Amino acid sequence: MGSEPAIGSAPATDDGSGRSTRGEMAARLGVAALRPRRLGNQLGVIAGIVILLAVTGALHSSFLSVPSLANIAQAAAFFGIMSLGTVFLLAMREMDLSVGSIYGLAIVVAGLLVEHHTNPWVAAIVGIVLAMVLGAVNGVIASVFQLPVLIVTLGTLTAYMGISAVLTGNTTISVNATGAFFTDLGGTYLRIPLLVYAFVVMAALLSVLFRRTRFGFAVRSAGANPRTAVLAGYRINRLRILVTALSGLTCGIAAMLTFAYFGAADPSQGNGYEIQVIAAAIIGGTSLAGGSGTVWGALLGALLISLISAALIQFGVSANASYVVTGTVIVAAVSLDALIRRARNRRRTPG
Amino acid sequence: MSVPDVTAAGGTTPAPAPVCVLRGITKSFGATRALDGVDLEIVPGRVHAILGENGAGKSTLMKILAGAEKPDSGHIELGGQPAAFGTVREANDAGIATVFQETLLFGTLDVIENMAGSSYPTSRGMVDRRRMERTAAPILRQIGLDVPLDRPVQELTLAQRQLVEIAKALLVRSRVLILDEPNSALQRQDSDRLFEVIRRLADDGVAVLYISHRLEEVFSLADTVTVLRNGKRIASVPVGESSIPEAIEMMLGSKPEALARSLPTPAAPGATVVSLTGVSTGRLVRGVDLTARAGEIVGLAGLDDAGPRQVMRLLFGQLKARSGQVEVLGRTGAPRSSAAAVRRGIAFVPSDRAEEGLALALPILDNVVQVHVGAFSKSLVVRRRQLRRLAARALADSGADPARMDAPVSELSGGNQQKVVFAKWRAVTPKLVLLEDPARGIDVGAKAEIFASIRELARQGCTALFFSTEFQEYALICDRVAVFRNGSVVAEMAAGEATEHTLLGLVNGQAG
Repeated sequence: MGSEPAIGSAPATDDGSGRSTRGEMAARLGVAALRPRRLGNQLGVIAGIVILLAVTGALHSSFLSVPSLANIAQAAAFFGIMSLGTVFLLAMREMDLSVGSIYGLAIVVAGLLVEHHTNPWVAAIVGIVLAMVLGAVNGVIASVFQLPVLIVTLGTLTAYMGISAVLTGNTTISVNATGAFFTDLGGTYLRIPLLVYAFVVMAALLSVLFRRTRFGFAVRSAGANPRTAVLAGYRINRLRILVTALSGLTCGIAAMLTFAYFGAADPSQGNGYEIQVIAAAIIGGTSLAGGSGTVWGALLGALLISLISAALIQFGVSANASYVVTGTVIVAAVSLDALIRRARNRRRTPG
Repeated sequence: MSVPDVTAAGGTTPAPAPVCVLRGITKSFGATRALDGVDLEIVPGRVHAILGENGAGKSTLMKILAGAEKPDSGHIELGGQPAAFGTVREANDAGIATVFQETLLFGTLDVIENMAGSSYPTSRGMVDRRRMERTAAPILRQIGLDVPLDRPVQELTLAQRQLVEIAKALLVRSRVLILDEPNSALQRQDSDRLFEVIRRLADDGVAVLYISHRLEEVFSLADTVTVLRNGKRIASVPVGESSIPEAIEMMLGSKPEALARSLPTPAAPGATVVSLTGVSTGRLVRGVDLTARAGEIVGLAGLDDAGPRQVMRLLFGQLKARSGQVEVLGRTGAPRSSAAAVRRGIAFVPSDRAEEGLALALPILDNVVQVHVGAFSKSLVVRRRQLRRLAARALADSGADPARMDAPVSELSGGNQQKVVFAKWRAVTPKLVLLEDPARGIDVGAKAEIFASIRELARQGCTALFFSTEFQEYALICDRVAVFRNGSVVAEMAAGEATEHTLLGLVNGQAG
């Protein structure tokens, strides 16, 4: 885990390949020096999670029960899956504010299709494809007009939400939630909801995509210095569209899993999610400066956010007040990122 | 090099008392000792040049005097009083003004606003622009900067921006003016004007501390030269008592074979690789005819906006031709984008390394394999071991240290950074390289290695187009030189004839 390493640095411990030869070679070449920083980025989140679990668990032992923990993880997965895609955007110095609206619209469209007797599996595929297209539209507009995705999605955030409202007349669509789609995808296995497994599997896949593929390398390269990337022959517009489509894809998958779980399509579902989605990626250690990021960190960040709300509820604090705490954690995470970067710059020797 | 009319001023009269004295200045960064007991005396009315290779301690010394760094030990006296500066502002207030290498101007603000900076005069709580303009006018006249005062500085040329920096420094009545490579990006005629300004300031009694890589300039401008090597002062001598070869010897510590041209017999010219016929882009490129063959190094000499840079950007898909015939690497038409250019086998080494050549935040390795992975690799996954091998070879070929490839590229000196840019392109074996001032701001040793790298590329059959702001470089590296003026090629000659004198005459509109 950790700040996504350069292709040359030692393989992270989570890659599962366990190829010691590479690790040894990397260590010989002095990569070991990079390790503390990489772990350091994650250490804060992990410490936060452990402390919250320990303190809350000590006072309310039921907090540590399997159903309670599964619940927290599931709450994290609802928005955390989208954070995984946001890591790619941040690494490219972009930000997608429309994630919650894409998620909501995908749920609405799938709900309407099922209501009109479409096979739910087909409806889900339509929902996922639609979410990818909506994401890509952000990227296309940003590329054609050479705007930051952030600015484009300030608009599409509202527009996509509006489409959901128009399509549903602002009422929840209840569907006949029977059949394998709802029972299997919305189901629970070994007392843990499928959503949580999906979250972990997607984190694993996207982490590999981010660190080990040409696509991931290109994203990081372009984020580190877009101008240099253009002059190195990168097709940066195409890359940006792919990344926004990927972000849309994560919204679509999260949306369909949510739909399967609730068996209903609430048009307001996803409103305001963008804050948590982006916050999870940043808390997880993805820098806003571009050029690096960590997919696993986003998963941890989402868990921490979810854990904070759950703990506060456990202590009888209102859900509204939990926004204050989450907000504070975001500010702390961003400040920490800035501090680390400053310390690193100071280490450099002027000539 | 000859810079007329500016050499005579100092030197002849007996030296006045120094305005600023540094004694035993020592500074370390981690394990690196950047400065080791350096003494320096700065005299009013004189231009004092500091020479040294990259990493010799020039910048650190300057930063200490400017208040940007604190020495570990040693002391500074200013006007006979002990002085210690915590910040650049404090040094400023004490009469030490600095023009740093990178211009520190606000691009969207205009000339007056930039000059005023934080000391904008106010009246009744509001900024007093009229007063500021009155203060600025004589200074701008003094340095000969004639532009509308309300023009945003981002619309000025590099030379004009540099003059705004100096004007800003002169606003506080400085006793000491520090200039860190103020002309590294300037064309010759702009440099000449800058030197006149510097000379005039010295004549007015300002002590000028001048840092530059361009030895010939230093020797025509400065009164005294101090050479640093590995953080130690090697010597301080009056310019008249030293020479360029001697200075190089002191800088390098041994006789340099650095920039002697190793004249390989120009290989039998290969097939034509670049052919431009009557190519125009509009204002800056007007009817250019140019050819280059495989294995040839062709110099494109000219002033900044005279065409060479624009021709390179055209060949790299960054500018469009409006008319004329372009043939590059066997295909008709210039590439439509850089992505297309790179895939056609064209490489581009831009003059602005930090902004266009490198991703400073990434490790050396990632920079070296950037083009390979982005444009050539067919594999879906990143094969680390293979990439490390590729990078090691490319770095070694370019004269860089392949063992350090995991360090951020920002930790390298300018010369080594440029080697990384070369390695990035050598990793994909280009057929045509466009070199836009590839030796800009790097030391003598690195320059020699960069030139060797270019030679080696040509020997392998790669064609190189070479542009430089330093006219003596053309004769060192090129086989043939095409001279540009006002967007067209006005002369072509073999390298042997491309002396600095001839080129300077031609680009400035005088017959060779």
